[in-house]
Order: sequence, then C-alpha cells, then structure tokens
Amino acid sequence: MSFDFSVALSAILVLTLFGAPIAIALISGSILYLLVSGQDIGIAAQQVVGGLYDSYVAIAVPLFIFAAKVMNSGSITSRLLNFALNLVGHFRGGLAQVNIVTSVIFSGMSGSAVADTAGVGHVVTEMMQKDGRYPKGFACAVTVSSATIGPIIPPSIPMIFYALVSGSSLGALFLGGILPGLLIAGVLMILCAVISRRRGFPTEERVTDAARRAVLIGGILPLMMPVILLSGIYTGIFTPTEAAAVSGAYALLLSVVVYRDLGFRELYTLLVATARDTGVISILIGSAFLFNYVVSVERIPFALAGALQDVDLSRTMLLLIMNAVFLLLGCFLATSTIMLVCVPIVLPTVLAAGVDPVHFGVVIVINMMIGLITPPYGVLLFVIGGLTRTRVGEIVSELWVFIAVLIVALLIVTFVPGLVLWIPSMAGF
Amino acid sequence: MLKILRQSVAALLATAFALMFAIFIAQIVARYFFNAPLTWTEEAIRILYIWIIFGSVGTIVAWRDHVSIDFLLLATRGHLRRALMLVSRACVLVILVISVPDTLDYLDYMRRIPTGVMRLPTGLVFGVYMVFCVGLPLKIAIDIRRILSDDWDDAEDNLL
Repeated sequence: MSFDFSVALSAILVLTLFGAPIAIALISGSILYLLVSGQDIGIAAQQVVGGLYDSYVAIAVPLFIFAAKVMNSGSITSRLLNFALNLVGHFRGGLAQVNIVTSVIFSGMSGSAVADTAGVGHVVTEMMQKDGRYPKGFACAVTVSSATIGPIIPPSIPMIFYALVSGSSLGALFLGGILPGLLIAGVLMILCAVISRRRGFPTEERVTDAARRAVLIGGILPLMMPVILLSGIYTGIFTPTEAAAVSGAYALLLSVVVYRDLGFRELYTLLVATARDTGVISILIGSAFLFNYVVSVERIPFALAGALQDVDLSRTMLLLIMNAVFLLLGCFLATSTIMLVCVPIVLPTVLAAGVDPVHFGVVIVINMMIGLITPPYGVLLFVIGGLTRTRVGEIVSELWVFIAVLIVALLIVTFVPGLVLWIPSMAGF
Repeated sequence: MLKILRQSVAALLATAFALMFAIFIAQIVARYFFNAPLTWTEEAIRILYIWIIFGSVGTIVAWRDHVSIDFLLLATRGHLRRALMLVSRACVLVILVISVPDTLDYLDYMRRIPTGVMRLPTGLVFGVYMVFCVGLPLKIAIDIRRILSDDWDDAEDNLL
C-alpha cells in the first residue's frame, strides 16, 4: 500500500466515522489521493460522472425504487395480503406463514428488503401484534427474516450493484436468485410451523368459499407483475433494466387506472422522493467507481489474489472464508457499500479460484441480506422496530434461530452451485 | 426564497424523472409493438439519469439523507459533536473546492467530444457535475454557519 493510498484511506475512514456520507467521503478521499499522487483531479469527474453515464444497468435501481413506492402507496399491498391470508392463514401460526408468503410475492415485484419491510412487512407485523396474538419480537423477527428474500428473488437492487462491479449478466443473476429465494422461504416456513406448534400460536378463521374466491380474484392482477417480469427477462423480450420500467408502469396502471387509489398529488410526492433516492443511491455508485479506480491503480485486488494463491486455499475453504468475512462486514456496513466497494477487491481472488461469478453474486447477496438483520447494524431491525415501536433487543432475542436457519440456507447455496446456475443455464445464459 | 428555490428544483427533478420513465416506456412500446426501435432514447435516458443524480445531490438531498455511519455522532453530545460535524463538513468543502479548476478543464476538454447519437457536446451533458461540485460546498457552507450559530440545537441534529 503506497503512502498516497494510506492518506486517502485514512481520510475516508475519519470522514466516515465523523458522520460524513459514505459516498461523499469516498469521493473526497479519492480526490485527495489524486492530489497527493500528483494526478489530474479531473479524473474524479471522469470516473464519477462518466462511470454513471456508461452504466445503463444502474438506471434500473431508481426505476425499481419508484415501482416499490407506487405499490406501497396504493392498495396493491392490502390486496396481496388478503390473498396470502386466504391461502395460508388457516394453518397453525397462520399469520407468520402469511408474512412469509407475502414476502415471497413482494420479492417478485420489488428489489429492496427495506421497502418490503416498511411496506407490506409493517402491515403484517401490526396484524400479528394486535391484541397480543403473537409476541411482538417474534412478529418482527418473522418480518425481517422473510424480507431478506426480497432482493434474492428477482428483481434485486443488490444484484444490480453486483452486476455493475463484476460485469456479470444481470439477467443471469436475476434468474439465479429464484431457487435460492424459494429455498429460504421454504426453510423459514418450516421453522415457523415448528415454533408455532410448540408455542401454540393461533390460526386464522376460514372465510366462506364465495368471499375467498373474491379475494383470490382480487389478487390476480397484482400477482401478474412477477409473472410478467420474470417471463419477460427469461424469454429476452425485455432487458432487466427495461423490466424495471415495466414494473413501474404496471404498478402505475393498477394504482392509478384500475384501483384509482393514487392521485396526482401523491404521485408527485412519490416522484420527488424517487428523484432524491436516485441521487442518494447513484452518487454512492459513482463514488464507488472512483474509489475502485484508485484501488485498481494501486493493484490491491491483484495483490490480494496473489497472496491468497500463495496460501493455496481450496475453493471450499475460500468460499467459507468469504462468507465469514462478508457476514462480519454485514454486521457493520450497509449492503450498498459492501457490494460496491468491498466485493470488487475480492472478486479477482474468487474468480481465480474458479468460482462462477453468477454463483458468487447470489451467495454474496444472500450473505448481505443476513447482514441486514444482524446486530449491531441491522437496518431492517431499526426499520421494523421504529415502525411498530418494538425494542430491538426484543426482536433480537427471537431472531437468533431465524439467523441460524438463514445461515444454513446460505451454506447450502454456497456448496450447491446448481441451485443458482440451473435456471440461468436453461435460459441460455 | 430558499424554500421556493428548493420547491422549484424538486419540481424540475420530479419532471425529469417522469420524463425518463416515459422515454423508457416509449422505447419498449416502439420496439415491441411497432417494430420501430428509437435510436435516441437510450442516450436521452442516460443524460436525464445523470442530471437527476447530480441535480439532486447538489441541491435537495440533505447531508443526513445519505447513507452514512452515525454511531460516533449519536454517541456524542454538545461541543464534541459539533466539532465532529464541523471537521467532516469543512474537509469535504475544501477538497471539493480544490477539485473545481481541474474539473472545469476536464469538462472543457469533453466539450469537443459529441455524444454518440444526438451529437450534443459531452462536456455540456457532463456539466451537471458542477452542480454537485459547487452546490454541495455551498450547502455545506450554509450548514457550517448554522452549526456555528449560537442557537444551534443539539437535538435538531439527532437524526444525522
């Protein structure tokens, strides 16, 4: 590590610790690096603005955010919730199962675990907590652990980040997430069934057949969204970036034209909020491009790959170490930061060991999602804890068993690459 | 005055996003329903995208809206907290201001290179980076003045 790089890295760390936005700290530290090493500072603009201009795939992020906002503001959420309630509500611990099923359905429409938690997850949690039917911590634990499925089943914002830094096909990554996402949903449902039986959680009343039919029909239109998205990407009718626009258009069509529960004023507010989010997330992507430029000028990823090759780790050992390192990082850093800044550093090492980039991408996304619910920096815990006024400690005491099950699922996906690669290979990726 | 400016910028950004979204849909419809791919759409989308990013980060996106690590700030109070906030802001301000001349040079150079389809000067398209490079330091300067003022409220920045 050169002196220039040490200066830049120290500046980034200090600025970040002092509360500066990570994106701004990365840009400032990298500009400092260019300054100290005597390079043209114009490179910063070239990397940030030029990098973003060249990243067509990145535009999918704000479009998916917009689609999620539209869905969460209209009645789409409640329709899907009713649908899931009729499907699995009558099982023991029915609402816990409903929680997981709605997460799976929503994960096929939205690419953000935070949006899923704050939207449909929040509604189901309140239903579970009402009249003390389920312990508050348990309700939140089910919500956050099932919200992790959101970015694993496509669409997925973290997968877009990974595609940007790795150059992997986003279509392949999206399709690769389907089976692992369903696997996770399956193990969570089994876990909830076991816990519900043991603790005697309630069931939901069965409704009449006529009412049930009405609710199931009401859920059909929103349920078409994942079908349209996945079949569009699978058959190549549209690119994953265009899929993001299609999902936004479909959500708008349902909320504005069909259900008429989104007026002009609300839509305007959503557009402003999305424009703001576009800035926040994309500047982080741009800052990562600049920092990754600095890191590659310093040849750090290759030095790391060389060092690890000298140690002669087996592929299994390497993947285990990567999982451990990223699980640990996930406890402290935001997904976007890890995906955009840390993953590019280890990627050459992983690829040199013969790991498939799409497989590694899906493994890392699952890993990051577990990071979202592990303390001390588990964003989803703060989101659901804040929304439902539940203490984080209360959630965490119920959550450990869910985290353990998710880690088992992560290990299965890590060591059975076919789970990830089968569908993309069928689609010709 | 500042409020009206913010609202106008917000309206512009919302319009830009709606336009970008509409162009996306037009692109898909033209290609699949009319079998007549539009050549300019992708470039227009890219341009609108970067204008929304730097337009918003340089103006309506607040310091606390960004992804940041806040545990140290949350753990401190009073003068120490104020000092941390001032140091981080001042450093960023100085570094961004230093970068302005070289950035202008780069943009001036890029003015000679036209974009692929619409043949617009790339320097002009990328020029929105200056909104970030100048807008952010300006916002930080206003922020620093607020933090330095006597009536700065510790609690007001609890969400940082």
